[in-house]
Amino acid sequence: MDFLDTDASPRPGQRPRADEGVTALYAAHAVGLIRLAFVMLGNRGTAEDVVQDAFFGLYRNWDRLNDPANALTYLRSSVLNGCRAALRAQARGERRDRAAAARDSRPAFDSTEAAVLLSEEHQEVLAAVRTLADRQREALMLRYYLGLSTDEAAAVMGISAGTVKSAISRAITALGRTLKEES
Amino acid sequence: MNSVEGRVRAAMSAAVDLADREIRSAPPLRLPPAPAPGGRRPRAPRRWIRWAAPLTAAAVVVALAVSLVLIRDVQNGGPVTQGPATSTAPVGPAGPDGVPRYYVAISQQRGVVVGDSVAGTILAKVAPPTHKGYTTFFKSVTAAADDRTFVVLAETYPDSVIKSPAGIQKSAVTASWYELRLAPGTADPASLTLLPLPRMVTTGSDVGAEFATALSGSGRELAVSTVTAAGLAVKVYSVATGKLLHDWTTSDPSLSLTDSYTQGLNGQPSLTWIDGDRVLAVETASATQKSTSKNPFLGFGAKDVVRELTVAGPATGDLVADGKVVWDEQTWEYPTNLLQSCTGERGEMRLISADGTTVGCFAVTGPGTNPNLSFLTYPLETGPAVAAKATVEYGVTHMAQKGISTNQVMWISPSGDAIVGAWTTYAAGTLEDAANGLHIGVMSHGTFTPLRFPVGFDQEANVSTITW
Repeated sequence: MDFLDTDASPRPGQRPRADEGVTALYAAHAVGLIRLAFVMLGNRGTAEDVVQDAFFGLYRNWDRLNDPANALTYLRSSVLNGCRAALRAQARGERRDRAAAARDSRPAFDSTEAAVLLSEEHQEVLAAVRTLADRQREALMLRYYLGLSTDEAAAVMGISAGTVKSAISRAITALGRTLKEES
Repeated sequence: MNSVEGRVRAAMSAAVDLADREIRSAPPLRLPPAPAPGGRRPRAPRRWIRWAAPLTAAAVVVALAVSLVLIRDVQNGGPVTQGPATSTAPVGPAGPDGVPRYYVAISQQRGVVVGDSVAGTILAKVAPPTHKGYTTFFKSVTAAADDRTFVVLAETYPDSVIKSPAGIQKSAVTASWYELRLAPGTADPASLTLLPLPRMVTTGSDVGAEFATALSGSGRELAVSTVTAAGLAVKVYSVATGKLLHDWTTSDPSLSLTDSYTQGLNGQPSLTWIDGDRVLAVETASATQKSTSKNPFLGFGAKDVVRELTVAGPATGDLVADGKVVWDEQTWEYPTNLLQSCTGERGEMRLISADGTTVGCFAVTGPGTNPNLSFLTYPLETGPAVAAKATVEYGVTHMAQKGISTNQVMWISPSGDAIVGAWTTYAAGTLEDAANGLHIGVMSHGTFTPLRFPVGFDQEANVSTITW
């Protein structure tokens, strides 16, 4: 087996440098995180920017990360924060531009694939999810999109498991109201 | 579960499928230089270079008008638009381990680039045909065994749709195929001719259909697969006449466009002619139930299946019933062994040797945050014993240290004893690719023999589409 530069390996147990660690995490998780941000935002370019910013933030704060094993939780949390900021910026832009289509009439995804692959029902539900309060939307995404447990979602959101449960319950109630009104 | 929760779960499930289809790779990570102590923190770069991004897939376009334009081309025959050759090269021997010398790749400008991977030169750049009001993209390439005959899949869209994707729901895409003949060392090193195959126009629920194409070793037959709302279909056409020779279909929902996780067959070498062009190997990937296991956490599941279809059999048939399953691997989002790493999401490119014995792939595996990259071959067979039969053709340790961002397998020798693999690196701690960051070479039993490409080739062409 002729591996390259085998003598350049870190010693066992050695903490990887920031660029090494972040690059490896990127290789392992970037696609999944971009998918998460894409579903939350509906726009691939913005989703990629949010994820890039999250990894950039991890890179800057690498030395302050107590345990590299927590890096994925940190990244998920950063992506949620980035999506929240992007959605708010998007909402501000829509308010400024009266000529723009009303939020409810915007498609759930700025994507040609989405337009043809998602049924109207699914687009309607996902658009409604995007109008939820931040915490409710994020709890739903972590539980139902990523399939995290309540405890895992709580760790990502930095809140208690009980708060995650109540956020989901309220989200379902709010969605029921929104979807009923729309139908 | 109340009805609202059910609707949310169903919508999320659909979103998972959509995201899986739409986001298949990430752009290279760009890290800034390490900040000086006490210095200002650098700002995150806002946009990335998406060098390997496929042309906006999705559905789109074309109507009767463009079909008529294309039909006129068929009637006229002869070569169509071609760019000037950038250089000529002498006809020479094949590359190491028998890898064909000449290749074709999709360029970053919608056309194709023809090159010589022994001399490291570009022979020609060929633009797609032009029709007023329409835009054609070359999408994928397939090669015969003679190192001179290639077929390019073209997709044509109305300009109006390209500029305004919001209106695509009622539009269609027209797929057509061109033969690209190489004549290295001559004044006309590449000529393009529209093949007389029926164009495929996807409309209605089939918008978004995926195509894959495979030219037989002899160059006489072209296999085309389509994944539509109705299901998966594989057709074999005569290159010379366009006549439909074989037609297999299935309505198995796990293989359809809308009802499955199937990533589509576009851009994957999922059709392979084997056994002297007597058998067609069809590879599919479909969703399975998500794992409920917490330890280990496996995530989403998928089935990677290869079926063999015998061309000597009846002209029509059921793809699933007639297909002989020769590869059947359950994979997970978080793989637990090397084979799953190879066939799972991160190893989405798999190649089958022309003798039908071997699968080539790559895997990224531990340890931890600084994993290793392995280029592997496995016997093409079913059963749990396959997992223990990996041959590591080449490996690169400590991907993070080396700044490796993208990996792929691109060619496998007819007997499966060598593969061509590639990886790219960027200079650690910088925002730019390393000057010599593209590594493409023949890998066999632990050795790496580099192939030659011009500096900056990855800016010129989509590396993942290089076809020998």
